[in-house]
Amino acid sequence: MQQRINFSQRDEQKISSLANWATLIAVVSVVSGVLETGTKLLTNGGEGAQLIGTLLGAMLGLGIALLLSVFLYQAGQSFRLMATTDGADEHYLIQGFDKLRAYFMAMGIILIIVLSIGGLVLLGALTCGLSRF
Amino acid sequence: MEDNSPGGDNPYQPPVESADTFTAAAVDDTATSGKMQLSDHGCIVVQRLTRWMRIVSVCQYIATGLLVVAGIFMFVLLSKIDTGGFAGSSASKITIGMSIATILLIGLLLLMGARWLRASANQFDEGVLANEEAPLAGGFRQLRVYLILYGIYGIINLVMTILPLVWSKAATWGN
Repeated sequence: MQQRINFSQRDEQKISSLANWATLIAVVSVVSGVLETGTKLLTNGGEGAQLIGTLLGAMLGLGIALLLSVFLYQAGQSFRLMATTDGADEHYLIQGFDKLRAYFMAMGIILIIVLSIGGLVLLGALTCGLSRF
Repeated sequence: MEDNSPGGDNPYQPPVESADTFTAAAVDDTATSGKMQLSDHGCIVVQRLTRWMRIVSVCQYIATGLLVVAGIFMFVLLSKIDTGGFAGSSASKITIGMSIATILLIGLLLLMGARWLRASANQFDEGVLANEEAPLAGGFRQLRVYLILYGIYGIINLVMTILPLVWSKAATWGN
């Protein structure tokens, strides 16, 4: 049975605001991703393998930005429906939580990969840098 | 015949609405109360969500640590430029200084975001365990602050992406 969840009016306003911010972040991420990809492709002067590498990197970045944005947008829409409608609050709440889980899961996996690479790069830089002095 | 309908002539008829009822209704928009019961599927979804929120939060703490190490490394590099141990100019000094400031700012953002995300996850868990709306609403408030933080960062990032494009176009038109 779907039940109504009794959030106060103030809390429902906050949840609507959260949905607005989620939508804004999703839109801004997509626009940023498209602009950065376009800039990289237009300003790249490399040839052969370098060009393919830049293309793949740019497409991967855009794909990740799109994926995260879609999950966050869907979560925001579900939370908005929960806050603005009555009757199927639990359904929208769980739907929103599920999309938010997908968002944080994707972000977590990406962060783990980036941190592993970043940690190794930093370690290499520290080793090289300290040995230089 | 006596009229027993609400609002009729019977003086012993209990009032349909009392002043207390109206007061409660007026105050209700600021208070979250009551028990809720999420389905088993809902509880599992929330548990999985909070687990990933905590993982992202821990990743952000680690990223902050790495940024601090990178900042210290750059600071050491800057001091070597000062003492002439590194073939650098004042321009490279300014660049490294700006980079340190940016790294520290991003580190602070990550640290604050990690704290809010963790607090949000804790409150979501608490709300589901206690079957109460109030902690759940608290979790949404914390998550909103987290999103506002990243929304502002996203807008700044977008502006920083657009500005060089606009400047390069303006320079092209100027020539």
